[in-house]
Amino acid sequence: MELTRRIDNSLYSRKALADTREAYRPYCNVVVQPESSGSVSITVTVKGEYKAQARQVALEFWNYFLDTSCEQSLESV
Amino acid sequence: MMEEQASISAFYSGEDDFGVFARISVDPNIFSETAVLKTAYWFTDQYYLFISKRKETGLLEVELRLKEEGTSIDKLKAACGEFCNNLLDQEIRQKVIKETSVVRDTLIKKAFFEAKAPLTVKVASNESHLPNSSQSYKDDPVRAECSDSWN
Repeated sequence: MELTRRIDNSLYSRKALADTREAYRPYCNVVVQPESSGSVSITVTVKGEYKAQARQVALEFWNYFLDTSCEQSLESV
Repeated sequence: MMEEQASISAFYSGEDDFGVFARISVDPNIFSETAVLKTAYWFTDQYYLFISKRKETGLLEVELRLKEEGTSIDKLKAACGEFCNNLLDQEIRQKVIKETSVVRDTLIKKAFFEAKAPLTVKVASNESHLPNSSQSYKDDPVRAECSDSWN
């Protein structure tokens, strides 16, 4: 099960993506594809052994990513 | 396969492989990006959220999903309403922070400056009268520590 989303670099940070990717490395594979200026396409594919919890893993990945981005951007305000 | 339907108040609901979702459009001219992020941050413990920006319109889109699968759209609608209320609250907080930032900074600066500044008057302290181990409060000639009733 995979979930592809296009993100805006002003909302989600690159560092947050790196942190999230690292945290979810055991559960899913992440493919990052740069798109037009200021946006990136991210595909999250849940690993086979977690297929039963695919929805939870994929959506938790995005929540973690959002949380980390918020923390980082609000720290700098 | 994705099906979507629009309602009057810029609230969209639909369903995809990950279940039911709702989407709220937020005008960045009314609500700041910071307010949206702060509100979203508080909602991630109860809902799955995703924020995107529409290039054409500049609108921010907040997508909400319930953590439990197979829940009704009404519950999601209520969550969106709650999100909008919190967003308004957060936006007002941001405005108050902006309006009072000068006063707050001045107060903080003053507090830190006073704590850091050296004492202007010398403290009247004479430590030559500190008792040594052989002395007791009973030897105090002034007997300041003892009331008459103790004697």
